[in-house]
Order: sequence, then C-alpha cells, then structure tokens
Amino acid sequence: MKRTTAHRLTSFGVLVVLAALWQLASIMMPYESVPGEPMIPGWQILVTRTFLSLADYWQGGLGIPSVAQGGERTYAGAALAVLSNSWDTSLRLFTGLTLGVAVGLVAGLAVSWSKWSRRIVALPAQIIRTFPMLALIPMFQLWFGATFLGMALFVAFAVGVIFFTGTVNAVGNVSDIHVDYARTQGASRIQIYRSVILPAMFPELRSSIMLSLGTAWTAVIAAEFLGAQTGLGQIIVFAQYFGYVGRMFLVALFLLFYAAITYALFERASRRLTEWMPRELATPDRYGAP
Amino acid sequence: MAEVELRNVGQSFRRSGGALVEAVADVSLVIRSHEFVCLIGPSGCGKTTLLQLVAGLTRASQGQISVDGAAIAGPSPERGLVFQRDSVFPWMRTIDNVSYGLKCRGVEKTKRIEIARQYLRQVGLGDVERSWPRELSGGMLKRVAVATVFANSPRVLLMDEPFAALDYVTKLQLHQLLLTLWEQHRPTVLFVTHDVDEAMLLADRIVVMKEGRVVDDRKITLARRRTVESLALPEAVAHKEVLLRHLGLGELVQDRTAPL
Amino acid sequence: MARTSLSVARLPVDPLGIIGLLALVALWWGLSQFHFLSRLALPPPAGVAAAITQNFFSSSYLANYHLGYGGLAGNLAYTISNVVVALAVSCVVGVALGFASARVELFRAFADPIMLTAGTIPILVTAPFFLIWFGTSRSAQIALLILFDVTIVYLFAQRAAANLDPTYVAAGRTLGAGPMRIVSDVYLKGALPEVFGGIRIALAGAWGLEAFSELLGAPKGIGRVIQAMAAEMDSQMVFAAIMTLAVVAVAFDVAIGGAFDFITRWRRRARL
Repeated sequence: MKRTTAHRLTSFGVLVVLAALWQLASIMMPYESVPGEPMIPGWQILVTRTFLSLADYWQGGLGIPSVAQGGERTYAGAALAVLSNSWDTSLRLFTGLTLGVAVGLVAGLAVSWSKWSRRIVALPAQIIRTFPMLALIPMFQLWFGATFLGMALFVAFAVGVIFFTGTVNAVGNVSDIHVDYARTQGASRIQIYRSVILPAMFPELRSSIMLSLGTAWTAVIAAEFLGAQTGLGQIIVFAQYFGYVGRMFLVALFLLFYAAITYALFERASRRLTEWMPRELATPDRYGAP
Repeated sequence: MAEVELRNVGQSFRRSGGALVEAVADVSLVIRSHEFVCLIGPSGCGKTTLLQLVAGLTRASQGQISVDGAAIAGPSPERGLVFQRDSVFPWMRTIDNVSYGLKCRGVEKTKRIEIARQYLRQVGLGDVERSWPRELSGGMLKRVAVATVFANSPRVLLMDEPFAALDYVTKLQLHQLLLTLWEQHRPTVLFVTHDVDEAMLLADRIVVMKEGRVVDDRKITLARRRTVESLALPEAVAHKEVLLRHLGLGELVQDRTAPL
Repeated sequence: MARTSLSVARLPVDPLGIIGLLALVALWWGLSQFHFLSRLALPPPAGVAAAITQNFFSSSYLANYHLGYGGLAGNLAYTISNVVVALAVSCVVGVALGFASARVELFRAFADPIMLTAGTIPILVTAPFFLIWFGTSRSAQIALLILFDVTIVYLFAQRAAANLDPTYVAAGRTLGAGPMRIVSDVYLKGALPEVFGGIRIALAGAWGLEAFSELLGAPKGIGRVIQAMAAEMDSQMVFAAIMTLAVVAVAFDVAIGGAFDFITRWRRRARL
C-alpha cells in the first residue's frame, strides 16, 4: 500500500486508540469534578448529556428560549449554541487573518522596494517578532475592551507581524538570476515586481500562510480565554470556572475540528495557487518581454 | 598479517514487491596475507555488498567470513573501511577525525594526537590538523579518510570505490599515496572499483564479479611500481582486454584472429 | 551579510537597524502624545522606563497585589525558570523520541500521528485543562510549555536524524564506535544544528505562552503582573511588564543565536 495511505490509516488508528483510552479512563476513574458532572465523561455521555448541557450557552431566540430564563435544555438549543458561538469565533478569526495578511503583505512588499528601507526595518522587525504576542492581549483589551474589534485587531496584529517578516524574507530569497535576467531584457522595476518577484514568492508565501493560520487560531482562542462574552474559547473558560471538564472537552473538540478543516482547506487552496503558476512563468521568456 | 577467507557467502534480500534478490551468491574466496585484491564488475554485480559483508556492517545470510580463522562479528577498526562518499565527520576538526578510532579504543589523548599527527603528515596534510573538514577539498578529505583508517593499524584494508568521485589528477596522486602506505604497512587489501585501469595499476590479483558471483580470478604479476610503459606491455593489455569483455565492453577490444 | 567563520554573535549590528529602532521609539513617543485611541492611550516611553526602574528589584506597589516583594525581577525569575525548565525537559524527551522515530519505523508509525497532530493544534486549548488538573500552580505552566516545546523539538530532531548521511554512522562503526558513541558522537553532534533551530523556534513562542498561562492563573510571574495591573487599568505598568518580558525574550534569542553560530561553526555556509 502507498506510504501516504499507510500513514493516514495509522493516524486514524491512533485517533481511534486515543478515543478508546478516553473511554477506558472514564470507566476506571469515575470521579466527579462537581456533583453530577463526571471528570472524564465517556463518549456516550459526551454526545448526549454533555452536548445537551451546551444549550445553557444559547441566549434565546429563534423560538428556543434560553435555559437561564427557565427554558429546557434541548438538542436544538445546544446546536444553536454551538453554531452561534462557532460563528462568533470564526468571524473574529477570519477578519483578523485577512486584515493581518493584507497589511503584512503590502507592508512587506513596500519595505522590500528599496534596499535602504529593508535594512532600516530589519532590526526593529526582528525585535517585534520575538515579542511575546500573547502577553499583549490585556493591552488590546485596555484599548478596545473585550469587543469584536479588539479581538480581531489582536489577531490581525499577530498575523501581520508574521506575514510581514515572511514577505520580506520571500522577496529577499527570489533568486538574483531571475531578476537580473529580467533587467537585461529592459524590464522596469514595477514590471519586475509583477512578473518575476510576485510569482516567485508564492511558494514561500505558502508556508507563511500556514504559519499565519496557526497563529490566528492561537490568537483568537487566547483572546477569547481572556474575557470575551461569546465564542467557543469563552465557553471553555466559563466551563472551567465550574469544573465542567466534559463541556470543556467537547467544545475543545469542536475547535480542533474547525482548525483541522481550515488547515486542510488552506493547504489545498495554496497548493493550487502555486500549481497553476508554473515556475517557468517566473522566468521571463527568452524571446520576448517578461 | 591477515588472511581473509570467504566460504559460500551469500546475501539476499526481499524487494518491496516481494521478489527475492540475490546480491551475492555462493562466493568462496581466499585473500592471502598482504595481498592487494581488486574486486571489479559492472554496476549491481554485488561487489559493494560483498565488501560491506567483509566489513561486518551487514551479516551474510549464508556462508561464513573469517579473518585468520576467526569468524567476524560486526565492524571493527581491524578491518578499516574507506568509503566512496565523504565519511570524515564535518563536526570534528581534522586531527580529531584522524584520532577518532584511537579514541574509541581508549588510547590516551597525547598519545593518540601524536599518532594522528604522524599519519596526517604521511598523507601530506600536516599543516591542516586544526582545520574543519568544510575547509578542505575533496582530495584532501579523502587523504584524511585514508589517514584515519591507517592510524588504527588495520590488518585488513577495505576500500569501496574510494576515488570514484575525484578528478583525474587527484585520483592518480592518491593511487601513489595508497601504494606507498600499503608498501610500508602491508595490510591485506580488498579494493572495489569499476575502473579497469585503476585495478591494473594497483592489484596483485583481480577478481571479477557478475550478478553476485565470481566469474574470473586473475593474478597480475607485473612488477611494481607500474608505469605507463609497464601497463602497455602485451601481458597487461591482454588482462585489460579480458576484463573489458567481462564488463560488456567487448567492442573496445581489437578483434584478433591469432589466439594469444 | 558576510561573516567570518569565527563570529560568535550576530554582531556587528547594522547601523541602519539602529536607526530603525530609534525611529520605532520615536514613533512610540509620537503616538503616546495623542489620545485618539481612548483615555488610556499608549503610555509614553519615559513613563514606562520610569515604571520599570522604580519597580524592578523591589516594589511595594506590586507587593500590594500579592505579587511578592521581589518586584518585576522576582516575577521575571519565576517566568524565566518555568520557560528554561520546560525547555530543558522537552529537549531531552523530544530529541530521544525524535531520534528513535527516525531509526525505528514502527516507533515512528505511532509517534508521528500523535506528535504531528499535537504540533498543529493550538496548544493553548489545553491550558484550561491543565489549570483544572494542577490548579493555579507552577505545574500547570510547565506542563503546557512542555507540550508545546516537545512537539517542535521532536520534529526537528527527527528530521535531523533522518537527514544525517548514513555514511557517517557506518564510518563510526568501522572505526570502533559502540552504540553509545554513535549516538553521542555522530547523531547528537551531527543533528545539533537542526535541533538548535527548533529550540530557537520553540523558545520564541514559549515566552508568550508562559505569560499567557500565568494570565490564566499562577502564583507569580510576569503574566500575573500584567493581569493584576490590567485589572487596575494601569496601562503604564502593564506596558512596563510586557517590555521587561520582551527584553528577556530578545536577550535569550540573541544568546541562542550566538550559541548556535558557535556550535555550528563547522557547517558549510549556504551557497546562495
């Protein structure tokens, strides 16, 4: 069997084993963190009682009354709670990610334009890169409060720094030979940027994109941990105050699931982006214009 | 100093498809003490595998290999091996590389540095003992490898196409260096190569392998040191023609109607 | 930038870079003069510097918030010790597992899925769980950091061992090196540069993770200082705490970079 299929099967197998171990632990350690709430709820509890309990986080509406105001816990309520909080988290994530990538890319390209600007920015950028990003969240909260704006901006900042550095590195790594070739053909600075540097950068930007995605997830979860009103991260932290490990685990699973999906999607999309742009196009045609 | 005996040695392995491949099949050979034997053959004939077996890096699936009657069990500095690729550790200075085998044997520091220095000088690299391998050329690295192996006073010297990656001039220089060291220290040598000229220059005896088996075993009795002239003698040319035919290069051989 | 083979740190520093740094501080000062963000705008550089010097070695101000009498330095020591201990443990475990997985295919089949998945998920998600299992104690921080560091070091160690030319191992064996020597003289020394690269990356992320973990709940630490000061809306002290941590992070990065350059001085320079 092919190596990758074998790998996928073992990965799947390991997941199954881990899930089985969890079930085993739930049987062998039936402690309760809080009366009525097992510390390690087995899968049969997770998908029923625990899932139901997530209805507590639905604020009411769409015909389903909120549990806090006396309504019952329903599967519909739980589903709505999960969906709406997932939406909140995702919105913050993608807004911040898009903003960060855009600003990082543009700033990176702008700085790379001139050799002087590159050198001036190098040291401060290196220092900002080593900044403990997550420690800045309280600062963002002081400025913007624990609002959508504050969280999205924090994600954007964290992503922007990474993407900026990545862009500058990518431009720097474009082989001189391509640039020189274009120049001997009489290409102007802008033409070189458009037809040589930009396409040649894409493969390296791919790794920056994946790195930024990872940073964005960490950033948004961290921001939600520290005082959001809604969102999956917020649910986890709220549940943690009460010791509801089951709920924490279930919501964390949702989060990881979303993260995995976004990684897979981004990986595929970025691969296609660099595939239909063959590297030969990055090198000017020997007979014609770049 | 050391007689190497191979008795019915075989080595087979399974390919990923399941097919059984016999890299070495029923090879029996005796290499006498101090003999310089060249093992020659086309790619894939099993000569490198055989050398690895004698080195003890892999265990033979069949048969027995012994040195002076004692069966070998794993690699040992007594059967020094010079590799085709760069084997000099890049993270150690030259002098530390050459003294590494001695270090493994527990030789005390000043003594082993002194021995290493002596061998470095013998290969003409006395002034680069503190250099990093990355600062040395391919030919120099090969000299370091040779010095490293000789520093352990091996009874058997195994060489796996050691000079294949070097340029022509460097290669010929290393031939002379090798012969000098061999004449001084007299190890038993098993030298793998696909270069017929190299074999003719170096060997007392040339063993030809094809498809895992020994197909020819020729004694070369030309006087040492061999020169361009001695290698043009009719007996030398005759050897070379037979060897070329073994390698499938018969068209290079002049078609003689008169038998030799 | 041309470098001699004996450069120990990433010095000399590009003078233009210093200009950039000064420009950044000037920008900071400029922004701090405007109050367009909110009443709690950017605290001015001078104020932050004063806050740091006044509270660095001892601080009755911080002591009021149950942050000990050691001032910023005392809390910094807690943070640094956690980061260093977690990294040390992770190096041992990560290198051992990484090397083993590179050599033994079966081991890799089990270790890879776990490690690689753990490497891609936001490790942060596990922080609240550690808080429940260990309470707001040092163990919660160290456990989180170890989880983060190990996955990175494992990846780099595995790659390094897999990329090592098998000729070196064979050469070591024929020179009489036993299995212990092969691991220490060949694998460890040969893989060190790549593993160090991983250590550097892990360290860069570890500071923020540790600070954040302290923000969630810890006995001491810079993160706790940040949290306490933020609750007081004292943005100047918050910034002061963040800056001291940033300086430590940068200092460690420079030190590791220098150590890296020294340790890998045998390497062939990239031919770019």
